Amino acid sequence: MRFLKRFWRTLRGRWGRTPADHAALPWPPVPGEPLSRYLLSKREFHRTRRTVNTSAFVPGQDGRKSVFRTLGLAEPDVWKLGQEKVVKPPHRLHARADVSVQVVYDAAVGLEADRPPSRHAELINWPDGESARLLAATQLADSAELHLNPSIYGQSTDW
Amino acid sequence: MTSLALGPDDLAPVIQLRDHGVSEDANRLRALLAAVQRDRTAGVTLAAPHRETTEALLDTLEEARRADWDGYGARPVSPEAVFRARVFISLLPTTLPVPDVSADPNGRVHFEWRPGPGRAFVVSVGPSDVVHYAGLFGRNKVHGSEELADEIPQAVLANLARALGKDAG
Repeated sequence: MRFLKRFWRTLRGRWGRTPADHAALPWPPVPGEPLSRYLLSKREFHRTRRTVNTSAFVPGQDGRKSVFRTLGLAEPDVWKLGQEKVVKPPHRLHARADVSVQVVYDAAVGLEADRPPSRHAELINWPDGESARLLAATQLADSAELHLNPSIYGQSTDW
Repeated sequence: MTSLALGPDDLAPVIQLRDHGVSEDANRLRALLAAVQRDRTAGVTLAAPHRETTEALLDTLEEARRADWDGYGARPVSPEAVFRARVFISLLPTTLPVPDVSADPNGRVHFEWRPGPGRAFVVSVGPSDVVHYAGLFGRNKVHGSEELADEIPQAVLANLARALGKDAG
């Protein structure tokens, strides 16, 4: 886990200064690649404990969960992506939950990235049965790194 | 899916209006509801953990009573799910820590305990009398479904205690 986080930070550091060009995204997504789930509800995370609730990763009736590939984006651009692609009034972008592609695979969940590559992807092929899907979502939430939106909660020191 | 406008004082009437069942399940529900109602109407003071969890549920409903409350097209929490969630709260041992309460995109209510990294236990309560649960205990995992009747299912309590590292009481 620690190795993945280090690898992830290295990738961000190396690519963070390049333009936010989704054409440069690898295909297929690589295990250490970060995925962001943008959180528009305050009930999907615990602000002071800095944890993500399982509900944030439970798939909808269609069995899919929308995420974004943020490899190569500088931190402000990660927020900008969510603001532009996800937020519609009256919702606000409160936070985001970051997991790596490897964590998704470890939870026995599939990933379908848009082709041709765009920043958007979906978590698919969830395990059969509601409790098995709940477990997968719990694993994702437990491994997720919570980032509070600095424009709402102020600058954090976690990145 | 009908959205609802619920407040602390109007949950019970909403549920009561829907209480037309004559089956064994309906009778069981009626008995459970009566127990919750009795406490409410008698002005029984809820134990602090139950009160805090109920307040967290109401906070959740304030948002999740509307369709698309999560910005991704989530379903609102149904009155039936609210009823089951309240029953679940009323049956929780008061010795347990207060869980986080949230809604999922399918209109179910989640009760979640997170004692630390790699340790978590979640119970998902929806409109039916079946609750789903999932737990992480370091490298071990568990998940399952149980019927919620007049007590918290033993499998739920045992695994919750395991996640918390203590007896559930």
